[in-house]
Amino acid sequence: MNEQTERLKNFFADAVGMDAAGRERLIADIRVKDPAVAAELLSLLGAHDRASDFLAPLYPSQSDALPDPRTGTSAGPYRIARLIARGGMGELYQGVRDDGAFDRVVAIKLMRYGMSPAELQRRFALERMTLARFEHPNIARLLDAGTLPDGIPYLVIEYIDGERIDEFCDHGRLTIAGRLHLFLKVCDAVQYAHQNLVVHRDLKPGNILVTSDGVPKLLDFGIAKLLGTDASPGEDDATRTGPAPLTPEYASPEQLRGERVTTSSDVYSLGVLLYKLCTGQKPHDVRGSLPRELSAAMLATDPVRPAARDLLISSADGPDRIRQILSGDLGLIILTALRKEPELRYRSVEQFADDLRRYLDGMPVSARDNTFAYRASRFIRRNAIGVTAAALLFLILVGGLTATIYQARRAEEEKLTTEHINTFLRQILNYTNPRKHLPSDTGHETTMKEMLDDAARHIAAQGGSIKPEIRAELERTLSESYGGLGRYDLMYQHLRIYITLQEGMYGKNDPRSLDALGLWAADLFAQGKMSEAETEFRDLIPRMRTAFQEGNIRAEVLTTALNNFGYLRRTQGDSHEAETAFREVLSLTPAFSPESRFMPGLTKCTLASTLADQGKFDEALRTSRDAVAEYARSGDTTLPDFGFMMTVLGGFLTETGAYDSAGVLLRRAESIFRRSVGPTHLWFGDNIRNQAALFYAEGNYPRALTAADEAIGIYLSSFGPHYDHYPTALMIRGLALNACGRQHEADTLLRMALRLRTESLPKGHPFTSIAQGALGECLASEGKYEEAESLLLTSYRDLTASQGKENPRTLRAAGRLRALYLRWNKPSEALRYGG
Amino acid sequence: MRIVSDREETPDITRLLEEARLGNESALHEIIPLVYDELRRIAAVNLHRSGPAQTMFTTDLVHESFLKLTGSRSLRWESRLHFFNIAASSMRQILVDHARARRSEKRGGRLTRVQLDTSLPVRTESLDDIAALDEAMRELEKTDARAARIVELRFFGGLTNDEIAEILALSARTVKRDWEFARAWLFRNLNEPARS
Repeated sequence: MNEQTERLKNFFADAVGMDAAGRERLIADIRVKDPAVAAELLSLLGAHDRASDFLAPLYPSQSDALPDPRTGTSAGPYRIARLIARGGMGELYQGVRDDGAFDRVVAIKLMRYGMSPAELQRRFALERMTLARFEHPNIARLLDAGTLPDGIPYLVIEYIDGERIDEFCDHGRLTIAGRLHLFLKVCDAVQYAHQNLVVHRDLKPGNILVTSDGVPKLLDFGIAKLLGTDASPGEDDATRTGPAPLTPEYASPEQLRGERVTTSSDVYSLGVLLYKLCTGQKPHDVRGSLPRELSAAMLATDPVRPAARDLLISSADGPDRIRQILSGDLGLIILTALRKEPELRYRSVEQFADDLRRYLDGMPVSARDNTFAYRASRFIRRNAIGVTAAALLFLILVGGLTATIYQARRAEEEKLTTEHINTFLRQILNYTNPRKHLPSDTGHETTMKEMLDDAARHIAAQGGSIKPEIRAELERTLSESYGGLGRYDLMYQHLRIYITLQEGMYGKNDPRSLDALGLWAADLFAQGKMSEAETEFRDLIPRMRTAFQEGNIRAEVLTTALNNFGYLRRTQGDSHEAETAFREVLSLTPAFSPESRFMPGLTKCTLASTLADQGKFDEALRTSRDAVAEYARSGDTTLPDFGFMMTVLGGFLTETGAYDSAGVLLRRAESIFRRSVGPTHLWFGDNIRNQAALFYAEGNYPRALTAADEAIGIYLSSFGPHYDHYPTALMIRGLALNACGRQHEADTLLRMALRLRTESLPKGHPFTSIAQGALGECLASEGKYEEAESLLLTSYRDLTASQGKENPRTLRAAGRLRALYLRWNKPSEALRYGG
Repeated sequence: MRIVSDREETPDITRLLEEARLGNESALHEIIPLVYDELRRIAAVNLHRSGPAQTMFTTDLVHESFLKLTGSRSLRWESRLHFFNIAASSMRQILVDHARARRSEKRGGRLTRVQLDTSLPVRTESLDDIAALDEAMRELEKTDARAARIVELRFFGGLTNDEIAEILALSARTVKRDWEFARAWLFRNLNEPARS
């Protein structure tokens, strides 16, 4: 189509809707600049007016040419100007107020079907109080109502000069994000109505117009209800049974079944709308000529996954991009709104909108929660070997198998698949046991362990005859594989063999040994030999810096050592030196290979923890939040690294009282861990521990107890009691026991936690103060007030010093003192620690 | 069993439609003659019926051929649309061929077959125009192929604006605008032949 045709078509489309005078003006305007187009337009308009039957006989009439029987007649103070549309319920006209007061353009809706005029009038009288109250920028106002001389009732509505929302999106080629922002405004309006106890019941693109300024306006609020056939006055609006749905494709299953209509029905319709805006299609792959058939088919089928749809929208985001977006969280959000069971949908429009906002902010969404447990368990059952192999692609930051290994292996990432490991093992095992049947894709974790044990025995037996370089590589692979299974004892055993071999080959001063030495130091840390590990790191890190500057080692070798050193120092209680180490890692970010892009995110989160230790709680929260959001934008959100980051942030959020968000993050992280590293991993333990803290904070003590138990079990079996979060897990268990009335058990645990803290940390460290607070709380409930008071006062004083007065941890300590004094019947003392 | 042998004779159009929808060109090439032949067969059957009660719309022809070819097997809606998309072009071809044949019969004076006209799937007077319409549509295609395609889908395929919007990935509003424009354009050109 050439430019002239395009212009002609646009003029034609404009002119078709005009009256004769309007057309004349338009043609006169065009003629000035472009007489040829004007003449063509005139001739086409003439043809148009005579062609309404042309090409018509072959198909059922579509009422394209609308007769206009009411133009010019009056509806109260308004004059009906022209027909805008004809719908199932009646006609919509444009009207003008012409009582001389002022020119106001309105929309006038004639209600042709439904109930008797008397009934409509009666209902309207009941409802106009509610509807007239509606003042919302995204809702078209209902202005008036009345009856025409021939008895047809009409509604007068604010006139919206706009375009249907779906067409607006397509004409503007809006991106998915642009569509979401528009949609969120629609949600605002619906939410507003719900707060006013009005359910829309007929949300669909045709009822949402967008003005040229991009402001969506909802039409027909409450009109579906006005047309209801069964309403009895006084019945609660929010649960009233609705009339037969006006638009089956946008109606909720309960509407289709004629059941109670609640705000949840609008959530569903909004889900259909969002589906349509993102794909151009409706969610159900059904058609029927009768609404009844359509309803039955929709009730019987599930919505098609949005990502699986052919895209029939026009957007600046290309189809591939949109499909990618829809296959992620957004697709899940849409499907959550479209659940057939109202109780599985978002509970409110607000919750739906919040999840979309979280999605737009790059934060994890709650829609994940519904599916993960089921899917994760299925996944793990199906892919036992696959999961353990994937588990090789992680690092345990805390003194464990470290990023160095991860990095060294990253180049071979592709090979680190089940297939690769199987091949590797097969090559070794075939020599010794050719008949052994190696597990195929149906293997299990135990089988994997058996394979590794076989391989380890074989390598040990053949030790002398294998070349040292190859032996070293094999030991390292074994070490990683055991790490992937959560068998840290065997992981370190083989790591030590690797280190010995490396040193034997290259000597201690060769840069090629630095990597192994870093692992050695981390190993000391892992064994709980803190000061030896510290000495090693202090010797090693300057040498690594030099080697890095001379180009002999990669940045990752140095930063891994720095990360582990930082974590060691934090565990030893020196958050400031830890912070320095973490900041050095971040300063080296530009030198990372692309594969290490996850590392800064992890480091930011451990940095956040050290900031929190120093009492910079707000900065800690901000840092970890930014890290999660940044990673969510650019990283692979299925990797355990992301789970670790969300776990850290979830912990902070729990401390600030943001339990909902904390829960979303922690559960999402848990699902990632379950799918990747498995339930014996330290990170998984940290996650469960933070969930235990959340359960405790929410007052769900039995679940807090179970979760704390699980975390303690993981810590002890995979690391040992010197793990710095072990006392924290003991404390949560102790506090939960205390809350369940099991003071005696609680007392023992909390004393153990405090002893571990006091032994390993410098005097006055916040972790010690927190442990004192926990024990003090327990003692207070046992009635041991003096001992409790001494602990709680120390805790409060030290936290005030280390964290500041307004810190959540300090405030919690103050709260404990308050509770103690109230229980002790010393209210004046209690008052000193805040109201 | 008869049904089984029937099935065996008919290639699996359901599968072909799915493949064509997903962009398999060769599947499309397999479907087109199938649809065309079936439509022509059904049209011919109807052309031989007599009496005004038997008058059929093209829409019905297309639907009948659809049911015939796909049986009662369920089919994705997109594939259904794809079928009608193909059928519209075939229908146009069949009707135009028929109209041309009829013209030449008139000229050749083979009066024995005039009886056909009463049972044609379209009104007799409009069949006269079909060949002319086809020519005008070819003209329109030169300046606005999309609008011409919409006419084809709507007039020959019996599809609604909404269905056309789905097939062509346009908004319903755009389809309506194009349709009105094309209708006026064709009407004007057919009534003022000097223009083209």
